[in-house]
Amino acid sequence: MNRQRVDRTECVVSVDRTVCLSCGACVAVCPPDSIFLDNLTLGIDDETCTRCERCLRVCPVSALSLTESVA
Amino acid sequence: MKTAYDVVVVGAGPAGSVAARRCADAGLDVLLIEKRQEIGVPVRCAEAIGEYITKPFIDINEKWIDARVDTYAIFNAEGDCVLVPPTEPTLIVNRKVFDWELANLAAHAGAEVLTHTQAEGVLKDEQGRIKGVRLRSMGKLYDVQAQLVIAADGTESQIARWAGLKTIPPLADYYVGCQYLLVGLEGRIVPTRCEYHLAHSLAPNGYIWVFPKGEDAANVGIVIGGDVKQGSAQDYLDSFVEQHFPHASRMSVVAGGIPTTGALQKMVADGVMVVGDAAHQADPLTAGGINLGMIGADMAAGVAVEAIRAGDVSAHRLSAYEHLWNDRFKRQHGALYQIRKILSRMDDTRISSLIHTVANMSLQDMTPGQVLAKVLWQHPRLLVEAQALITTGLILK
Repeated sequence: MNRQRVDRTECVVSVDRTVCLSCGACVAVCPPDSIFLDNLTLGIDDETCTRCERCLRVCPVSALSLTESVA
Repeated sequence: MKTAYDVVVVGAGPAGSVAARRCADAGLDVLLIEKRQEIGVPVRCAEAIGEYITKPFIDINEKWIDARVDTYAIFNAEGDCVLVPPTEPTLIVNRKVFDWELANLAAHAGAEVLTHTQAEGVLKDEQGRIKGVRLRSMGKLYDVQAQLVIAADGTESQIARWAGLKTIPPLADYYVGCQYLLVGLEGRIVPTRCEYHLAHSLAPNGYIWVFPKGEDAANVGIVIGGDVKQGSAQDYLDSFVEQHFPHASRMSVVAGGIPTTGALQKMVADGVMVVGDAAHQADPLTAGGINLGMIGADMAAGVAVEAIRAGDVSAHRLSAYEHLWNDRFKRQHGALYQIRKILSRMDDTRISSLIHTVANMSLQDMTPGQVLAKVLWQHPRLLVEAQALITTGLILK
């Protein structure tokens, strides 16, 4: 398999719900407002997300990661 | 639920409940909503408050007090410790009961309280002014008109964003935190003493706290800078707990983010006021926000009542609240912010030797002036950094 560099735009921010505490630390720092708590569950809008990774940086429990899109 | 109120308050933490109560006390028709199923949980907080500063908002009652603190102990990484008396008696509260009581006071003042009800959006008129909120309550959608919306919906405030306010902090001005409620600490903690642990190796650009909740239990938590690249808040907290309380049991885990700029530049828009964590009303150095949130809510409610009576809820009119806040806190918070920046810049050797210097002073020498004199005598380079404090107007009392 070719080990090509993965383009960030082909990645999505994903949340491990077994780790996430729904604390909202990531919601408060997301510039395009792409992360939200809906009924206390974290959701991410891949369409508006710019992959800036601020959310990954601030997550107190490392529940977020940038993963290759399976689209 | 009715279709229209004078005021809708979003979020039933301490700030939201104080705002709702003050508005209801003044005779306004108030709805107070909380997205969670139950008021007061989960507790995203270290639960320390000042007794005197809390009194105007709620009668002090033992049923929500877990500990009374008379000493702060500030440790460096080597275990040297400075003991400091608090400026006023500190209470460690049970937020679940405390928040419940505050919401109960709002309800008794006449506010309608609804849990498991979240704001889904704001209603705007043709000019873009906010005229109410769209709510989801027990699965059903409701459009509720309001003359004024008070946003007390926490750091992750959606209302403030929907109102077009700038709420996103730079990561360097953001604390991220994690806290465990630990038990099995008897003999390992002093039930009347709050501990702070200050070292970048323990908590980069932040600190660790141990706040007692009785003889055997404590909130053990951490904040680190939002710009820290290596490790999460939980990683650092785990290292500390492993070292200091290896046999403790963990009864709860909470986390959260806290902006440290003191308050938003703009806390109002047409038909909207923002209070508490949603308005970033937290201490820029310690990140404490219960008392500040209640004070902010009280200021906002006072302005809100007058504005509604006058039939003018424009941003211009509501900005009286921002002036009240800035008059009381802007200078103080500017200085605390500078102290945080200075501590962030200092390396661990210097932080450690500072604490060591003061730890070696005898108790009768512990007036702030003598502490400062001794610190500056042994660490003359601090004078350069002290200049930054003086220019921000900190008065060293």
